[in-house]
Amino acid sequence: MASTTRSWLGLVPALLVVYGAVLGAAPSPAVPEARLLGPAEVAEKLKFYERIATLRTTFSQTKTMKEIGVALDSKGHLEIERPSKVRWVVEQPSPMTVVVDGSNVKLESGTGADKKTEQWDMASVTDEKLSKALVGMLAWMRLDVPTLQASYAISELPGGQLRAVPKETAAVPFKALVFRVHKDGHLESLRLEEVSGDEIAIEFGKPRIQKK
Amino acid sequence: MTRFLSPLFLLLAIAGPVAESKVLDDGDGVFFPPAVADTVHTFKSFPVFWWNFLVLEPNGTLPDFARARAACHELRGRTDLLARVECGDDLSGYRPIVAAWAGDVVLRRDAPTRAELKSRLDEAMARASLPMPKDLLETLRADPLGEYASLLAHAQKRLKLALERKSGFFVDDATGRIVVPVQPAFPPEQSARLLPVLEKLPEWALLGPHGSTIENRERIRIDLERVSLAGTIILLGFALYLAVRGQWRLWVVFPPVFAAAFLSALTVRFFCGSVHGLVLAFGTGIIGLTVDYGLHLAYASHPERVWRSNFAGFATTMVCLLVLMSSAVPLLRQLMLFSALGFAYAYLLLWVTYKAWPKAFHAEPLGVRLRATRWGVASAVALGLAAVVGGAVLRPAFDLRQLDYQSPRTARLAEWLFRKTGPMRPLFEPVSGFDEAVRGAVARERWRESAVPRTTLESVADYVPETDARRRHLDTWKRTLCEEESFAGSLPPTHRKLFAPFLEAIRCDALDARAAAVADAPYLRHLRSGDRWLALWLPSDAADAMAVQKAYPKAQSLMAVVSTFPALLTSELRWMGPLSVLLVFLILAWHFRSARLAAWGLVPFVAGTGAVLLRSLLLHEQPSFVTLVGLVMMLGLSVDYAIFVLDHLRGDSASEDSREARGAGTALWLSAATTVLGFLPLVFCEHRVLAHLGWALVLGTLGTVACAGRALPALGVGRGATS
Repeated sequence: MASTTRSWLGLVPALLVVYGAVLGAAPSPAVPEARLLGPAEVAEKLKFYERIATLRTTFSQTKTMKEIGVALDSKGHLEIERPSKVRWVVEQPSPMTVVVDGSNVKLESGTGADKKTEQWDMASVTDEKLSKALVGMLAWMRLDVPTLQASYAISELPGGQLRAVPKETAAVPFKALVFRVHKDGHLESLRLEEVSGDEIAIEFGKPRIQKK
Repeated sequence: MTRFLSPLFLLLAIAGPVAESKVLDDGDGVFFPPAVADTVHTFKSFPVFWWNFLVLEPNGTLPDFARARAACHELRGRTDLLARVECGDDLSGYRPIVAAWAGDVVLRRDAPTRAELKSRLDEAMARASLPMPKDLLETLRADPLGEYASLLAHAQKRLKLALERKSGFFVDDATGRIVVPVQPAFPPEQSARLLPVLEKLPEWALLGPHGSTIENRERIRIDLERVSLAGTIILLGFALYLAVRGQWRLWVVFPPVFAAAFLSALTVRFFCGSVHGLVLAFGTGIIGLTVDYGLHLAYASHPERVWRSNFAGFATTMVCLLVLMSSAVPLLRQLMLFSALGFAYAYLLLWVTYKAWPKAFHAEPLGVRLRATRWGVASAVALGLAAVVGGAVLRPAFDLRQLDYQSPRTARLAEWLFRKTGPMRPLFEPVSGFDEAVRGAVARERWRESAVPRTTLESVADYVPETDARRRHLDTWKRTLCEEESFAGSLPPTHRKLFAPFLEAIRCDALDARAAAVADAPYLRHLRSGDRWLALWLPSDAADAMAVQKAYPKAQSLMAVVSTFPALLTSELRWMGPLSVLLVFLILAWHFRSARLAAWGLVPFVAGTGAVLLRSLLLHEQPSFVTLVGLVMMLGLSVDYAIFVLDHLRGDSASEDSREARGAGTALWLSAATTVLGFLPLVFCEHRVLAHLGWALVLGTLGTVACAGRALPALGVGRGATS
C-alpha cells in the first residue's frame, strides 16, 4: 500500500506538468472566428449606400484615450452629399464643424466672438500622419464602398459585426475598424481602433437619405 | 614654415604640456582688435545665429525622400548635439516650448471669465474627439487655448525660406534638393563635436557657421598634414644631400631653429596664455630664415667677416618684425612677437653653436657663381616695373571672406541657398538685463511701427510684455483661477484629466513662480546669451538699415563689424610699410656706409614684390592679407640676400671662380633653393590662406634671388666700395 501511495504522489508533479502543457496549448477563448467577405458580399452588406445622393444622420461618439484614462463623449450629426462632400457637425461638448469638400477642409469651432475658422487643402497637409487620419476617417464617413474594399480586408464576426483591417498598415492610422449594419441596411455603429491605442466608438441614428 | 613644421611638432610632442590642445588657440578672435572681437563673440553667442542648413542633392531629378527620412531619424537621435532639427512631422521636440508658451498665457493677456475659459476647453475637447496622432493630442492637452498659433507666427516672421514643404521636408522643386535646417546646441567654436554625425551623412552638405568652421579647419588640417609631410621629406632630402656631399656637419644649422621655435612658443604662451595655430605655422618659417646665416658662414672663406653681414641681415629682419608688432590686430602682434623672439633665439643659438663648434661651419662650395647676365638684368628691370604697375593698379583685398575656404560643392549650394533665403543682413543689438531688454524692446517696436514698418524686429517684447503688464495679467488669472473653489476643481473629471498638463501649468500655487522664471522660458532661449538679450532687426532695404542704425547706434551688422578688419589693416600698413622700408634703408646705409648701396640693397625686394604682383596681374587676382604677410617675410630674406651679395662684391674676391666667389654663390643659391623647396608644397594647398602664402614666398624668393644673383653683380661694385 505504501509503495502504491508513493508512486501516485510521484505522478502528481508529472500530471501538473502535462495539465499545464495542455492548458497552454489550448487556443485562447473569446476570439470569434472571422469569415473573410468577398467584394460581392461586402457590396451586399452595404448596398444601402449604393445609390444615395445625400444622407443625414445623428451620432453619439465616445473616444477612449486609454493612456490617460479619459472617455470623451460627443454628439452631433453627419451629412453626406455625394460624391465628395462631408459635414461632421459636433454639437456637444462644443460646437465644431468639419467640412470636407473634395480635398478642401474647413474647420469651424467656437461660438460668437471666439469663433475660429481654419481652412486648408488636404494636399498641402505636410503632416502625413494627420493627413492619413483624416483621409481614413473620411472614406468611412462617405461610406465609399469601392475605396473601403480596396483598402481593407473585411470579415464577418459571429454576432453580425464586421471587422475591417487595413491591407497596408502604413496607409491608414487605424489598426482595425469594427462596424455593425442595422437590419435596415444602414451603418449602426462604427468603432475605430487607432494605432495610438485610442478607440473611437460611434453610434449612428437612423439616417434620412435622398437617392440618386 | 614647411621646412621645419614637422620637427617642431615633434618637439612640441616631446615637450608634452605644450602639445596640449588648450595651449593651441585656433579661434578667430585673433583677427580682430579686442573691442571688435568682443562684438563678434557676442554675435556668435546667441543661439539664433547657430542655425545651419543640411542640403541633399536629388537622386536623378527627384527629391530623395527615403534618404532624407533616414537622415532625419539619425539627426533626431542626437539630442545631445542638436537642439533643433526641422524635418519630418514629429512635434515631440517642440512640446516643451509649446507647453511653456501655453502656460505663460497668464503673463501675456488678461484672463477670461470662468465660463469663457470653460467654453474654450470644451472647444478643445471637441477637437480632441477627432482622430489624431498622439503627438498632436499631447500638444492639444498642453495648449487647449491654441496659443501655439502666435508662436508659429513669430517663427515664420524670422525664417524666410522660399521652399515648398513636402512630406515633412523643405524641398526645392526646381532642383530636387532637400533642405533640413538644424541648430546645434553649441556655438561654432565647438563645431568639431558634429563630425561623428556628419561622417554618417556624407552625401549631405552642411551650410552655415558650423559647417563653414568645420570645412575650414578640416581643410587647413589636411593641407598642413600634406605640407608637413612634404616639408619633412624635403628637409630629410636636404640633410641627405649634405651627407652625400660629405657636409653632414652642416646639419648643425638646424637645431638652433628647432630650439628657437620651441623656446619662442613657450615664451609666447607664458605671456599670452596660448599660441595660435596660424602663428606657429607662419612664424616658424620666419625663424627658419636663420638657416641662411648658417649656410652663409659655412661657405664663406672668412666666416668672421660674415658675422657682420649676418648681423646686418638680422637687424633688418628684426626691425620689420618690431614695426609690425605694433599692429592692433592681435594675430599680427602675436605672429611678430613669436617670430622676433624665435629669430633672436635662433641667431643667438647659432652664434653659440658657432663659437662652440666652428669647424662644423666649414663646407666646400658648389660651382655656382654670382655673375651678372643680360637676362638677369632684364628680368630684374621687368620685375621692378611689375612691382610699380602692380602697386598702382592692384587694390589689396583684406576682406576676411578671402580667408574662408569653400569646397566647390559648398560654394555652389551656398550660392543657391542664399537666393532662397534672400539677402538677410540682420542688425543685432544686445541689451543687458532681462527687464531692461523687455522695456527697450517695447520702445523699439513702437518706433519701428511708425518709422520703418516694413522692417521686421524680433525681440523679447514679441514674447513677453513689460513687468507691470505681466503683473496685471497675472492678477486677473489669479482672480479667475484661484478665488473660492479653484477653477480646476470646478471642472468635470474628463476635463481635468484631458487637460491635466495645461491645468498643472496654471496651478494657483505655481503662478508666481511662473512669472519669476519667465526669463528662463525655452521659447526665449534663442535670444539669450547669459544675461544679454538680443534685439534682431531685419531691415527691408538699405535705407531702413540706415534709419535703424541712426535711431539705435548700437545696432550692428556682422559684416560691418568684420569689415573693420580690412580697414584697420589698410590704415596700419599705410605707415608700417614705409616705416619698415625706411628703417631697413637706414640700417643698410649704416652697414654699407653708403646710401647708394643701401638703395641697391632694396632692389631685390622690389624684384621679389614684382614677381608676386605679376602673378596677381596676370590672373586678375587681388593680393590678400596673407600675401602681405608673405611679402613681410620676403623683405627679411631679400635684404639678407642683397647684403650677402653686395658684401661679397665689395670684398676681397679675386675672380668669379675663386673659392670666396663660389662660396658666396653657393650660400645664396642654396639658401634660396631651400626656401623655395620648403615653401613650394604650400602652393598646392586648397586653402587660400596657405596657397597665397606659398605663392608669395616662392615667387618672391625666385624674383629676389634672380635679381641678387644675376643683376646686382652688374652694379660693378669694387673692392672696399662705399659710395
